[in-house]
Amino acid sequence: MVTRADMYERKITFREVLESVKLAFKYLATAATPRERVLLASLYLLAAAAPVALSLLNRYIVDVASQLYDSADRGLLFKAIWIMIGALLATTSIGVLSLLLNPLRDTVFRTASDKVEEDMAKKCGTMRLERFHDTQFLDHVQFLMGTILGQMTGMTTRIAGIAMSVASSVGVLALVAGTAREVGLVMVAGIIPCVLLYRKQANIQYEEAYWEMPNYKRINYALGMFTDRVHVNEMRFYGLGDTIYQKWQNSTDAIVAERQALNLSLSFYNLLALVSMDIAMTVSLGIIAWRVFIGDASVGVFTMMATAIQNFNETLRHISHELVYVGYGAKYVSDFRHLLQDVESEVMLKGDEPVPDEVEIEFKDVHFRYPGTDRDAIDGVSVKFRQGEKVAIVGENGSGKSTFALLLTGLFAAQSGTVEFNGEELMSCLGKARKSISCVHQEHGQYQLSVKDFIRIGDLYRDVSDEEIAQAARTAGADEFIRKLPNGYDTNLGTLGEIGIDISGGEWQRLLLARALIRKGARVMVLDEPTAALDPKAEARLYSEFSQLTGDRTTILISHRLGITRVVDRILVFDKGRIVEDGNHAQLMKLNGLYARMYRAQAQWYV
Amino acid sequence: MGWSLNRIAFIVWSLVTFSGALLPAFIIANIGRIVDQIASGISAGRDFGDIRNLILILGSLWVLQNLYSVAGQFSHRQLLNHFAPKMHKRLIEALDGVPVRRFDDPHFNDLTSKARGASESVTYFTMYVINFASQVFGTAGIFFVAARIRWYFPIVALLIMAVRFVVDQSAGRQVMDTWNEIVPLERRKKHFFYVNSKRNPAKDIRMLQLTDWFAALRSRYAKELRDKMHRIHVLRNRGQYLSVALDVVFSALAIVPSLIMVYARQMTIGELTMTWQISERLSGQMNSLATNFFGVYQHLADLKILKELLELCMSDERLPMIKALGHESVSNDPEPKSDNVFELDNVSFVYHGEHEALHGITLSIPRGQVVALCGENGAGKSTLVKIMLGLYSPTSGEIRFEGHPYGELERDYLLRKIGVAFQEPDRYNYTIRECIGFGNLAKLDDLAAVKEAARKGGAAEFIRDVAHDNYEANLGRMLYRDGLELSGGQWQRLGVSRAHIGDRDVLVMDEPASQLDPIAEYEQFKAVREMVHGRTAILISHRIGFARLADRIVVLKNGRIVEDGTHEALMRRKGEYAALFTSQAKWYADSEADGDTPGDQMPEAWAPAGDGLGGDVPGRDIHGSAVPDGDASDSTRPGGDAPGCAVPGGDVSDSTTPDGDAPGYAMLDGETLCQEAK
Repeated sequence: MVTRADMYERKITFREVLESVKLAFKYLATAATPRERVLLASLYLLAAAAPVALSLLNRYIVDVASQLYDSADRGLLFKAIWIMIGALLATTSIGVLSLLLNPLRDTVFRTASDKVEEDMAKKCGTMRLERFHDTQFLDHVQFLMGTILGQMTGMTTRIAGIAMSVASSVGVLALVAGTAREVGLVMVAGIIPCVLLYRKQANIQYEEAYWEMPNYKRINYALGMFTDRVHVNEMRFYGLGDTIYQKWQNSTDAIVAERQALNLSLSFYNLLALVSMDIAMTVSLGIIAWRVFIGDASVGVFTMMATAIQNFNETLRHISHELVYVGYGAKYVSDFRHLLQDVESEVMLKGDEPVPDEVEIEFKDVHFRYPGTDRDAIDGVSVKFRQGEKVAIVGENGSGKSTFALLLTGLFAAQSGTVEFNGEELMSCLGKARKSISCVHQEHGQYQLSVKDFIRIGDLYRDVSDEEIAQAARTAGADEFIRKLPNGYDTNLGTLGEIGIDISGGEWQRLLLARALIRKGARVMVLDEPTAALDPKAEARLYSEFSQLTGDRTTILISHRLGITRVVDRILVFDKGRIVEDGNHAQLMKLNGLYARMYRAQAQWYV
Repeated sequence: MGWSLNRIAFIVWSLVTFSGALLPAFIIANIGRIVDQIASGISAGRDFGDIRNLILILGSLWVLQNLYSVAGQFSHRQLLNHFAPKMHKRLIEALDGVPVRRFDDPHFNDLTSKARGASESVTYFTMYVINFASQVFGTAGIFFVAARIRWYFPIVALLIMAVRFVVDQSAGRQVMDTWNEIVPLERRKKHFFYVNSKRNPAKDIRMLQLTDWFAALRSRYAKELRDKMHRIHVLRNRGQYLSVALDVVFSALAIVPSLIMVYARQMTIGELTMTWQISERLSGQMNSLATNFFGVYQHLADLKILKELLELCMSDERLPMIKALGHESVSNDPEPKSDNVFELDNVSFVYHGEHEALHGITLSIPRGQVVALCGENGAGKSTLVKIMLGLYSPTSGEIRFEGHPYGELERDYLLRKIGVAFQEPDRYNYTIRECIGFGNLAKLDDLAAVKEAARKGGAAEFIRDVAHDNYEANLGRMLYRDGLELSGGQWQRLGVSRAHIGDRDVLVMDEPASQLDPIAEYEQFKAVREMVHGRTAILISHRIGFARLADRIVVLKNGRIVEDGTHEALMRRKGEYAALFTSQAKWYADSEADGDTPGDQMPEAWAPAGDGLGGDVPGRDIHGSAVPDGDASDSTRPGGDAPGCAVPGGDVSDSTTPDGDAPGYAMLDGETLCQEAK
């Protein structure tokens, strides 16, 4: 998949634009019932026909007026007035119709947009976790997330507008050419340089946007240093204000300079294009005026032409302008299409089966490497876990502990070797496996949910009562601080920052633990650094309650705090992606290897 | 606000837009004249030359119109180009002087989070205002032409416009109300949308299968939003029906009498053409006016945000605790007036929201003393440190640095004196040199000093491995395609290096090793111990063992100092510190040493094992080894290295035992941590 920078670099092919347009309209079509589609289409058709109708009406009026002026025919006057009123009423009804259909149009576009949102969210939410470790890919996906809705809607709106404009232009041109062929030719001749010049402009704009991107990000980053709370301590103490301001200034200057040059060249080409049309229009009107002058055409023809070609000019400009954006937007839609088609989602097989009572997990010579790295993060690991084992995983940073946990839960897929869940390949029973495992990770989402719901989502497979939630919170030691929140369990976590409440890292960890506990049916628990943010007393409490918390579940615990290894049956020591030691505390201390060294490094303070 | 920024571009653009707005009127008039001439020309035997000239004039008017529009666009873009950065600059200048306390105010943070988007909005606001104004001007021009045809045309038009305006306004207000309901709904829906592509929730979402659940939530919000928007449209339409009707009435009023007048030869065909064109134009103009007005309204909200933010920034407490380097800058550092580096007299601090974080803190730290600050989460340690660093000013009490009250010191005096490693250090996406150098701007360009600091902070090694000692390498892939991605521990070590650059007399280390594994943590603590020797230092860590590096331990609980003494004294006291210590220490006590309080004796497990190989320990099938080929009797490392001998990082056997260390230190120094197996 492409990165954000690539997106600006590559030129989009016509075929891709076509595919993108098709996709955009597919969403639109599915958002409207057939009857609604017809209604909306007719609306656009009417709008397209308007300029032609208007020009014809114009001609009629002026011709009739000149007749009236010459002949003073009363009957003609009344006829003209009636026709006029009729035309105005027709305009009114179209106007009213358009207004009536406006809410419908808006709803249809919104529904289409919501559907795009659905597909985008679903893809992001189900793509494999490895993708989140590919920084450039993730950056691009996040960028698409923020832009695709606007671009998709924009594209459909624009294309509809362009189609309408093209239809009306063709109509007007036909009218003009039908009346005076040479004028038609002159107009067409005037279009050609216009189109060429607009294309030139479009290319310039693409290149400029690409160039700007990195600087724009840097400007935003620098600004963020001043606006965001997280930086303020260091910004103030280290006195970084002037330095960061300078960085902002440099990037801004660069952008301003480029934009200035761009502005000049764009304006120049724009003016040329417009002037070429002006020349065509002037010549055309000259021809018509001559015709009228020598009596070859009526005065009405002149006013009709005047209106028509001015209208034609404006529509043309509109089309060229919009086409630029269509090409631009098509890139986004194309990337979106590739994202949906090419990026694989997790397949949650066997999610309906009941969770087995006994779970055995086995790794068989598993290898895994992060995208873009040149070394296996898990380099041939084989190990078996039986139901009920309490296992601690220790090792240096980067030794593979967390990666191992991710392979165990199927969040990562083994690249060679297998992970087996009760003898079955993990990837072919992912649904069942995930149901059986309950986790506390180091990174977690802070959702805009009530505390209750935040804990409740720990087990979406059944109905969880409020009482159970409170019980889990009590066990996890979270009940106390929850009760102190403004709305207790109904407090919305996402909005806490807005009303001045901060939940500390330790409190979050307790909430996560409560959520993990709510999954009563889980047979395996994976805890990744569950005490990292806790103070000594809170940490100690967790350790002493460890067996109550974990019950008879198989527990995999990753920790830097080696004290925990006292309450587990088994310790796995990771080093450079392999398990290098495996035993209980006493055994490993006797072994006097890596574990012993780490343990002594920590323990020596507590003599 | 616009007029205070880049006046020239602004004025030019305004002039251009205004004058250009008059052109359509001229064009219409010209066409009218042409029509008359060609209509009468045939019969009056006129020369086509005059008509030709009129047409050429028309052509030039069009070109002029294009010139105006291009020039208008040009200056519009120029304005945007210069305006937006100026707005940013204003924001930066305002924010840079805001004291830290402001950032504890959730309302303030809410404003700053919207500030960036709002500043762009201000530019558009100005655009809309000018567009609106110029259109009013243009409309006036059309009115003028209309008045020349029939004097009552503009009056009728004005009346109709007034009615439309009133109707639009009332509809607009109702729309605004519904809009206010929509905004929070939209935000919530967006939250459950964006959450799918964020990195932190990704594991949760997959493990708990939240995707569909979020989708259901979004679907509910989406339906509600569609219904509300539908209502808005219906409300807006009410006004619009009237407008459409009025439009038609106006057109009828323009054309029908004109036809009659032409019939009665009281009006020429040219004038009729103009009338027709004017009525068309006016309708279009009124629609644009309404749109522009709405645009102005929308961005008004953002303008208010910025205004409020800037007001907050400029309000009371503008000066930080330490006054900024100003005109009265002292070229030489003031002489220390006291042997105490930090002196706090009955200092109290209340957080925004009246939660008292510190109460009656009285503390003096003499030069050369190493103090450990301990306490549970929420006890007030971070707040105390921030006060000592001059980031907060106490709400009551006094504080002095080397005998000088903080109010008398320059802003970067403290920076020159104190090296700080902040908890959860910032991850600067700039060069490695800058990331470390930011800790002491005076040394930012001193590469040797930076390298030295990296060494002391434990970062030199990974800088060599990952960046090949290129200190100009960029960090973070967000801003640079080839930027380096670092782990939490690596970022932390860079943060610690910031404390060491410049060799300052006072050090403050807040959780310098929280993200490091046991051995790296030990190395870091060792390095810290070395660095604090001979300096004044404040150490904070949840790893209570860290406190043993200190000469003195100060314990905070609920915002007060409850204990203050040496490790031994506080352990004997069996109070808060002892409880904290024991709660961690007991997990390291050897099971055979049960009954002895940890901290008194050396646990047995420390004695270097006899032969280092797994003996006959009952219970497990694998004797402490995990060699994949199942060879249980051999070395623990598949590579065949001597078991557990590779010592990470520095050479342990080299370190000297510091003077006066507490019992237990000597265990590690001068002794290898591993044993060669035989």
